[in-house]
Parts: sequence; C-alpha cells; structure tokens
Amino acid sequence: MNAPTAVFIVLAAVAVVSSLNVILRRNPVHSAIFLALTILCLAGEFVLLNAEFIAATEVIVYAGAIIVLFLFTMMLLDIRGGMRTRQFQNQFGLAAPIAVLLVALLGAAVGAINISGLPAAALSTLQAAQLGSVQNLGQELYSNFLLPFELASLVLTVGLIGAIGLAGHGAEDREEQVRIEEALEFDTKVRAKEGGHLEPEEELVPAGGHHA
Amino acid sequence: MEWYYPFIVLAKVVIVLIGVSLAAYINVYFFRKELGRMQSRMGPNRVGPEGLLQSLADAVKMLIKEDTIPADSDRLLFKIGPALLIIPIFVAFAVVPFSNDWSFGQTVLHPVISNTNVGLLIVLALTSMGVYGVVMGGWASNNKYGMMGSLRASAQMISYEVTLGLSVIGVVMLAHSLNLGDIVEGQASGTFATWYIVRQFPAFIIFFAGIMAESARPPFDLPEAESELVAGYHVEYSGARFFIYQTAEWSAMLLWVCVAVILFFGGWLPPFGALSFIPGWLWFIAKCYALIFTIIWVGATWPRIRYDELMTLNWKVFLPIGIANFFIVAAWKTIAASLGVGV
Repeated sequence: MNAPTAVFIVLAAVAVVSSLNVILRRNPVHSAIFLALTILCLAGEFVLLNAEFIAATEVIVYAGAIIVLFLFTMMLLDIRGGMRTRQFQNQFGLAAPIAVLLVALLGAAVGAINISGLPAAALSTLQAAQLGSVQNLGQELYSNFLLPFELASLVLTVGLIGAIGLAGHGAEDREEQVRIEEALEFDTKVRAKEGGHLEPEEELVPAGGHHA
Repeated sequence: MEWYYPFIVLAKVVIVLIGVSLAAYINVYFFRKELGRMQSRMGPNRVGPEGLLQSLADAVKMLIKEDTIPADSDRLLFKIGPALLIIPIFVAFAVVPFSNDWSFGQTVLHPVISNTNVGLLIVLALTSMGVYGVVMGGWASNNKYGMMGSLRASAQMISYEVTLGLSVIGVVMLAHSLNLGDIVEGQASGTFATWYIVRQFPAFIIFFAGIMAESARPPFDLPEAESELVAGYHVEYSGARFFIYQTAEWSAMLLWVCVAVILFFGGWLPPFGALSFIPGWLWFIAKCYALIFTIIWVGATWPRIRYDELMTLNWKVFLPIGIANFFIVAAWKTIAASLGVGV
C-alpha cells in the first residue's frame, strides 16, 4: 500500500465516522463540529486528487464561514430544551426502503462509470496537477461553464434578497414608531402631574415628530 | 527524491515549531517593554536582566496553576477549545517561506516546509478555522462574559476575513500566483519601488486593519475587552489551557505579520540592491519586527473602537475600497495588456 492510499483510507474512515456523528449526536453544537471535521477530511481527499484550489475553497467557504454561522445561530438558542426532545421518530418502515433504493441507485451510477476509460486516467501526475490548477479552473469557469456559473450566483442572490424580504423591515419600523409615541405620551403625563413649570408640548416633540 | 528527504522535512517542522513558539515569547516581552516606554512606564524589569525572563516566568507560572473546568460547562468542547485555535495556526506556518533558497554546493534547501501552489489560500483557510477555538471556548464555558466575547469574536473575525480576502486579490492579480514564494519574487527589481505596498497601498491599509482585527490587537480587541467583558472568551480558562490560548493569539499575530511581509514588503528582498549582502532571512525578521512595532504603536495610540464603529468601518469603508481596488487593478491590467505594456 503506497502513502496516498493510506492517507485516503484514513481520511475516508474519519469522514464516515464524523458524518455519522453529525446525525447521531444529541447536542447540535457537537454535530456542527463534526460536520466541520467531515468537511476537512473531504478537503484532504481533494488535495490527494491534485485539486488544491478546490480543497482550500471548500475549507474557506464551508468550514470557515457557513458552519460558523450555524454555530453562531445555535449558540443563541436554548439547546438544553432541544436536547430533551426525542431525536428519532418511528419512521424506519418508510426510511429503510428509501435508503436501500438510494444506495442501489448510487451504486449503479458509480458502477456504470468506466474509470480507466475516462480521459483524466490517461494523464500523468504532472498533467493532473496542471489540470487542477487555479489558472485552468478559472479559464474553464469563465469560458465553457460561464452560464451555469452565473446561474449559480443568481440563485444565491435570489436567496439573499428573499432572506432580507422575509426579515421584514416594515413591521419593525411601525413598532418602533408606536413605542416612541407611547413614551412621549407617558412623559407628558408625568410632567403634567408634577405640576412643573414646563409647558412642554413643543419641547417634547422632536423635530418632525410622530404625532399623527 | 533522496532517501534523507523525510528527515529534512521533519527537521524543518521542528525548527519552525520551536522558532514560532520562541518568537511568540520574544514578542510578548517586546510588546510589554515597548508599551511601557510609550506610556512612560518601566515595563517588566525584575526577572532577569532588563526583565528578559519575564515571559518565561509567566509561562512557568501558568503551566503549574490548577486547570479548572466550570461545573456546568460542556466538558468535551471546553477541553479541546484551545487546541482548535492553536493547531490551524501552527499548521499554517507550513506554507510560509522564511527566506530565499539556500544552496550548499549542489543541494538546494528551500526554507519552507510545503511549497504549495495555493499557499495564500491555505493560510486564509486555516486561519478561518481558528474561529472555532474562540467560539467553542466561550460557549462551552457556560459564562455570560465568555459567551458575549465569543459572539463578538466570531462576528468580528468573519467580517474582517471578507475584506482581508478582498484586499489580497489585487496582489494576487499583479503576481499571477497564489504561491507565497512566487509573490515575493514578483516584487523583485532591486529597489523597494516595486514592492506591493507601493503599488497596492489601499489594499495594504485594509489588510493591516484586517490582521489587527483577526488577531484581536487593540484597538480591535473587542472580543476580550477587559473593562466590559473581564477577558472575553477565555474568562473561565486557567493554567495550561489559558497558556495555549495566549500562545495561539501571539502566534496568530506572528503568522499574519509574516504573510503581510511576504505580500506587501517583498519578503526577504533588500530595499536597495546595494544592501543585498545582508542575508534574506535577516531582512525577513527585520521587516516582521518593523510591522510588529507598528502594531504596538497603533494599539498604544488609538482607544478601543465601539462595536458598531468596528462593523461600519469594515462593511461601509473597507469593503467598497477593496472592491474599487479590485476593479482598478483589473482595468489597469486589461488596458496595459491591450497596449502591450508590462505591469
């Protein structure tokens, strides 16, 4: 067994174990950490395939940004409450056939590929390293695969705009306005009760005030 | 490949690990002494001559203190938190070239552990992994100050990573490479006029602010603002684990300074051709310490900025400047190429 094969087996084993942990752990924060570990192992596999750029991008985008945002959200939630609920429902009867079907489909798809017949299999190590280089990848993305590339970024933009739309700024502004009006009303009442010498209506209302 | 190749790699790894840890402790002393001078104090002056052994005394003290774990913490994550921060940073030093090649007769020695083609991306990827150590340490200790510190740290590190990555695009476009050694060689011309700090000055300002924010140096030290958060994410840590957090922070700053010297200050290149009799690694160290001095200087000069100012500065000032810089470099390269002028 040569060194790359040994590294492949170790990385694959760690990836499988940690991805099982992602779904089996009770604590979602632990699941997220194991997801990051899985991503790191996959990045290692990309390095073995001479795709260093994809490996680095995978770590930057998924492990460095997306999973950190998951964690960021989960840290603000009540995790203890979630850990008391039942983790699995009794849907094995439905899930098992679907899982078997999926494995069969994937197995058939992988089996159908003639790996030694692929054009990449004929390349030498040096040529393979050239193929995965940043220059070649950029060239391909911006020429032959320009349309899918731009469509993918369009999908992300739509998602972003959708999230901003769902967050709904309008309702928040109206609530803020109601709060300001209530505070001003309360302030006026308190000052009137104290019988103070403030004749305040003008003073209390800020410029461009909120009185209807 | 010669039979002794693995041993050379192993020797390089050991030298870099020891060198980085030592430099981190020299930096602590340098910081405290220099900060003392700027604030009209003495700084450490009791342990050893001129207080030189103060860092060592502190390290020994921290290592023999009790390692406490809070009662209601997440024990697993609390224990591995410091390791999650320090491992990526030490691994990232593997792609940093410290000098030009040394030749001994026929054999050539590259003073870099792994001369990969995407060195810069690997540094960015590994340092973005460091945020796990900070976030998990604060969350797992089940302390509200720790929690606030880690929330601040994660928001700050993710935000500044964006502009940091944007600011290096201009350099990469000028150097045609992501290999850190090639980026240094791209600045070689005999004088300092072709260093990327001259050609990419706005990018350098963004990068410099970015590395100060990433390594949480004042005035960007909000994750551990001692006057409001006690110590931020490592408030519950003590003993050896606290020591590892401190070492990781100082080595992170060292890593960023090395990368800044490579990207913008011509790495091991001398500023004038006439000074090339001084070896490259000395230039590298001298430039690193000039930058570290600047970091101390900025930290001693500016008060800590407010959190909303921190975010506004990044998203509304640095991000547009970074994008504009990117477009200007791209446009300049296109125009120069169409005119047949080299850039």
